[in-house]
Amino acid sequence: MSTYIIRRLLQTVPVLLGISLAVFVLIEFTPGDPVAAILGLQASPDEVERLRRAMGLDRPWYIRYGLWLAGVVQGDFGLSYQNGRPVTELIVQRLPATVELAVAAQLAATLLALPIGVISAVRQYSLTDYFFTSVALFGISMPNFWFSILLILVFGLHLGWLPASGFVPVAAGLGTHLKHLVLPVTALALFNVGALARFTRSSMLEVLSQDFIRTARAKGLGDRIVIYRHALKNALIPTLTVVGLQLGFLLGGSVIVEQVFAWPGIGWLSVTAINQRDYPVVQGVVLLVAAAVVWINVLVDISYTWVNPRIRYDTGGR
Amino acid sequence: MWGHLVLALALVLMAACGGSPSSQGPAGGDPAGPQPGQGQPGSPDAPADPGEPVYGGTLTVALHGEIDKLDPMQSVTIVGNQVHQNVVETLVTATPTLDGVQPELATDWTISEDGLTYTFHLRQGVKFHNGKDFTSEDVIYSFERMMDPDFPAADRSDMVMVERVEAPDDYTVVFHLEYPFAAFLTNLESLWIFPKGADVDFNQHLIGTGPFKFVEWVSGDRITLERFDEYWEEGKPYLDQVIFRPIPEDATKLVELRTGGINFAGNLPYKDVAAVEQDPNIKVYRELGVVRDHLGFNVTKPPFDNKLVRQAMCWLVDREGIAEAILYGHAQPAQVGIPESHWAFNPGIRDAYGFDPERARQLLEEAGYGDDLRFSLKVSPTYPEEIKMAELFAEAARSIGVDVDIVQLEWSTWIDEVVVNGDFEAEIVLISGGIDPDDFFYQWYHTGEIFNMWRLSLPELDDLMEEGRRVSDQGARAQIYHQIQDILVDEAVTCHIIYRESVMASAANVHGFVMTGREDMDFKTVWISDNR
Repeated sequence: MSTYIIRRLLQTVPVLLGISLAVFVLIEFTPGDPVAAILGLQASPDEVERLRRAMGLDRPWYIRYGLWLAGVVQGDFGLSYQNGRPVTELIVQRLPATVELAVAAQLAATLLALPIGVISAVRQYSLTDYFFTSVALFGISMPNFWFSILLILVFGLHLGWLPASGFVPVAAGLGTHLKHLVLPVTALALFNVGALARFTRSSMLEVLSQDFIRTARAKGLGDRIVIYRHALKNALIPTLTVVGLQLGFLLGGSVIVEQVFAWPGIGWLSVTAINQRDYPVVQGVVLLVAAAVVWINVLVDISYTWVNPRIRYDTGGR
Repeated sequence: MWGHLVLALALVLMAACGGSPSSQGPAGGDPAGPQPGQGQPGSPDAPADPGEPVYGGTLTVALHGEIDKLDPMQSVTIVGNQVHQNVVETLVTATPTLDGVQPELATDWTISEDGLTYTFHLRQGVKFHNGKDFTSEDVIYSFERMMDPDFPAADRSDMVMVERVEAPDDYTVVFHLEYPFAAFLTNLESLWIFPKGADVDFNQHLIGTGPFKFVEWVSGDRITLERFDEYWEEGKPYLDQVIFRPIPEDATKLVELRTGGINFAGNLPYKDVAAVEQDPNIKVYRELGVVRDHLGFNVTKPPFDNKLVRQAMCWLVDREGIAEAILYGHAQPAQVGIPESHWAFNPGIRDAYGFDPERARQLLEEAGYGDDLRFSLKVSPTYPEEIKMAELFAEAARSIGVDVDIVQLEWSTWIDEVVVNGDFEAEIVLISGGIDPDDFFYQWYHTGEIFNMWRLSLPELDDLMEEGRRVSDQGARAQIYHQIQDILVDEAVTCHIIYRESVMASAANVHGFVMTGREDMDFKTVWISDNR
């Protein structure tokens, strides 16, 4: 098992390299000049050249990429072009907010979607099923921008129960911290709840129609045991994959939700950086998110063994 | 069936929210045009006399976005300036009505007959936030910092005419100019004064002489300032703390304002102004300012190398319609970039162009175009109103057989294509800023200037703009600038559309804020009373 894990982790390296190279090249050939973004347009061509040289932007892109990579290996992601702060510092400052939002949202989505999906499958075509299906479709169809603003209007303005925006650290009070978390988590979880519920439902249905389930029922096993011990565990495998994928997406930083709720996460940071052609920040964030997504998928794969003991990754013969 | 019920519930919910005051369009009442020259805070419902200023309190301000840099000398954004002006000061600063300068770190000054020597007497007893006393050496230091070619100063061009600076004593500074430059005093607003020998990166920790000192900048979350107890102006500031929060989404900003999450907001969206003015807990500040939109043309290639074609386009711009429909009445038609309230404005051109498609068609015929004129119009979604203006213009053009292809470009790309490369035919964009008349013309219309994106080159105009900078008598300068405006209107290189109103809002218990026409956020005089 540990060899498997090590092998998987090693495999992530070429993937991350490829991603960082692709992004570097893409942003390189996008029109728009980071030096202009820094100096504004009134700078003379002399000043622009000078700054360009000082920032090392006069060197060809492959050299700059190589230098960046060399820095990364030593843990140095460079300095932001815009405000001169170390990229690592910026990311460390903004990442926790996104991670918390993503994890909380995915947790909420999963805790809601799994029961909904299972119940819908078990009571297929019943009123309950139709109700939950509608809820799920609502979640999938409603744009989360609109839903975010709706939440702010209803719970922030009309009911006044929750704050409209912003992030408060736990140190300032757990209650206030959680209050600020509720709305953005709800908005972010919306789509995932719907998608995951639908997926769980169909996964369950597929498992429930299989022979071994019919056998278990024929054996006289109670419904509850059939569903939870036999069917669900099998249905969970593909479902967990989806959970992992969704969490990966969320960690990329939901730009829309972060902007609407003024939530200081990396999604918002990366969009601003892209607009300003702040290459080091973009590179740093992309690498980080790619790494997170890749490693989450490794974790998901490993979790299969826990869910289904028959799955093993030993290199031993089979 | 259940599905339908859920859908119905959702629709009801949407409708219920649509009916709330915060999301209504302009109220049925009088949307009212802008009130020019009104620097007074307060909506019509404000209490008549707020009483004596009270010390204490925290002002939480919503900024339109995250600032770019903490160091004002390197910053190029408006939101950056809104923060910086509370921490760092300059020798002189523009008056609230933007028609001259008033003392700040300099108490008085003299200008030599030939306009080449400016002598400033500096304010005494001023301290920096790090305890250092302010003297002339700090002015020299700041000037040298700005002019250092290895330092990325954004506004260096404002000081290029200075040959040298000297400090004959601790409280006198003398600027020697290479040539007379009438706008030198207003340009001094770019010379932010920093303490010499601070040994600190101002981008990480800003130090100045302003009423508030910098505490921290948490990226994406807030910038915190707190009262500087040893500020030079007796009795000020009143506030304990100012917290700037970037809130890019307008709806969120509005809700925060109404629920008290913030008590000051810049950039209120125009569509919400009328509704917000109805709220007795909120004060709205409006000022017609120096933000203006225009339709501009690349004059180096067809079809816009032909003056008649450009003039024709000017008659297709429905300025009143745009002000009403797109800016909800918070704008005034414009013919040139300089505002009507400015002393150098030429009243003669006030009604130069109107909305007359028939006249446009005649001009096009004269120019030799039947109904075969087509061109591209580049705009950026960073300014969504420009897109709507483009659409209205394109519709008017279509009515006389002209085909306009609207191209939307991301902002940096727009800058690249239009300004840097001149790869465009027509564009619509907004421009902000300007105090001295020179600010409104030279950098935009003089041959070879970077901002002259239309690539205009008229020797007669160049000469006039150069003369306008040299001459110091206001009456003579006004004459020169009147001529410049006559030429520009005739050339129709930039068909101005409107001047925008600046709109800000605060909680009703915030007093003392002085609104300017250029989005300033100076909180030195602001105080908060207890009653909301």
